[in-house]
Amino acid sequence: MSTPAATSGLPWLTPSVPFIPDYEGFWRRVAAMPRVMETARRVRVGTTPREVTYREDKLLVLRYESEAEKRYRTPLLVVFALVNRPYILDLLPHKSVVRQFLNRGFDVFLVDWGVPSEGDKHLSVEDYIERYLHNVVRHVCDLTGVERISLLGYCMGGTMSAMYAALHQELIRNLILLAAPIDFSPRESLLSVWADERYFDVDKVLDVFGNAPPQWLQSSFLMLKPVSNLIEKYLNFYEKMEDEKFLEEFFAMETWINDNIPVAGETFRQFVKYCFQQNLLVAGKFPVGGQKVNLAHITCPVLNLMATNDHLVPCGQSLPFNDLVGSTDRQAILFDAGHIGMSVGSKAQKELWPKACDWLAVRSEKLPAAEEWAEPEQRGRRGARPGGRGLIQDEV
Amino acid sequence: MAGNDRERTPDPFTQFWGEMVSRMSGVGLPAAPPADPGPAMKQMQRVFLEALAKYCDEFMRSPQFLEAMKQNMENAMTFRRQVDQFLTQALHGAQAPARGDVEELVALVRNVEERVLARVEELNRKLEAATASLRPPGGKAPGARRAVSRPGARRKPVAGGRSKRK
Repeated sequence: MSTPAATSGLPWLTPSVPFIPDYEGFWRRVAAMPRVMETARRVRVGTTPREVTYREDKLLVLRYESEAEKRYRTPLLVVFALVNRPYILDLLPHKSVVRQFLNRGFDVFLVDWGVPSEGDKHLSVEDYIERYLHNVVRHVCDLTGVERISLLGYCMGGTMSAMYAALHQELIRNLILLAAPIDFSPRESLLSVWADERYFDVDKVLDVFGNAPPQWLQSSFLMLKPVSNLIEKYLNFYEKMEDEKFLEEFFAMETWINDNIPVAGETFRQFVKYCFQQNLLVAGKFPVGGQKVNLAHITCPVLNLMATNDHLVPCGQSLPFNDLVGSTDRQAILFDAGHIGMSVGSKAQKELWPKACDWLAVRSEKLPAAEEWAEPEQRGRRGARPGGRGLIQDEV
Repeated sequence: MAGNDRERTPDPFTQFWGEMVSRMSGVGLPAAPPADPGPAMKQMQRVFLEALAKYCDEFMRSPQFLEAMKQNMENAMTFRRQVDQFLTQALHGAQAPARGDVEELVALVRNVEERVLARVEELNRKLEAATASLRPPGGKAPGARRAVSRPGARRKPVAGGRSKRK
């Protein structure tokens, strides 16, 4: 039988090369459309049971519930960034950082900053750290009957957590940073380039818009990887739209990606000016209220988690943190993932978070096995608390 | 509870849609997923997209793009100011409050809040100093868990929702 290659004299033109559209696959995907729409409709995010234990203005503190036995007395407070909703840390049951810690027996709290309105444009970094976060930490301490908690900050929440730990070290037992920008001098990230004061007058922008508009923030984040976010994502969707698990994860992520919130104007102004443009944090000059944040005041055990493929917060922005703190027990883990993949990626769920849980377990106060979960007033102090190991472990 | 409801009973529309598509695509549709178009095509696509991504990244770092972005932002702000101005005039003409009026009010309230909270903080400090002077030497006041020694330390929120701040 003659082949097109033999008759046309074109050796690369073989019957296996699909110059005609893949009709079978196309019609299969068309047939799958109702299931795609149904999955999009029924996907639910942030479904781990929780209760609201504290409210202040628009802020909520969520305490997660679990059937797993509580093993550790030291609670974990998770702090996310101000630019997106925090349920990325509890996106789906099998992609949940919160559940990882819950299943290991930790008492997990999460700060939901809420959605700033026009009236919140005056909220500054001091309001978020010295007022809101400080009140939340004190609330968690009071509720759980401990004097110090563990703090986990993600992205901008990590920067704020680091600042808080530097200002209130006496309340922090352990600090975990996840893809948190600290040193803004490297210009790997496009955000650092775009925030250059020669091209971006943050004062003018906020004088007109008040808060940082969510649509503008979302566009900026999408444009950091335009090909990936605007082309590859949809090609990948087309390829895999018959896979129900893929669809569920895709729509869960899309829910979060499109759920942007504004950032309070004054806070945005301070972050852009003091971090991106002047890089005051590493210099120990970032002003919070009447004080300057000095990261060397952090002496608690520190775990710095960084993503090697992070286009938003390159490793170069997070790595210097371990050299700036005064802790003797500090560890850094570079993980092969992207910025969001660190929390929702399958590989991170399987490999990174069990390690983080192990790290925290060793440094948290354990509950006696026979103890009932009593009210704080009914629990007395139990002698010397296990202290830090004084290790210097740098896994880089 | 709203959650992962995995029950899927095919509804009439889904059944109809599946049957319609099956008929339209012709008989003999294989049950297996379509064959891979070939690693060569995939490779070409990947290389093309990688090159495009690299080009986009370089372009978005260029001074030309940054200037264009700056100009774009200026235009957006100018447009926004014009819209605000127009709406303010229209609302004022209708004896209604405009955005600027609300912002002024918010600023006033915040100023009052800051002054009140600063005053409350000061009173708190005086009260603590007075309480400390009444304590026996080396003792703790009953119920106290932490001595507040840092100036400007925060308190729990007062009744009504707004907390004190420095």
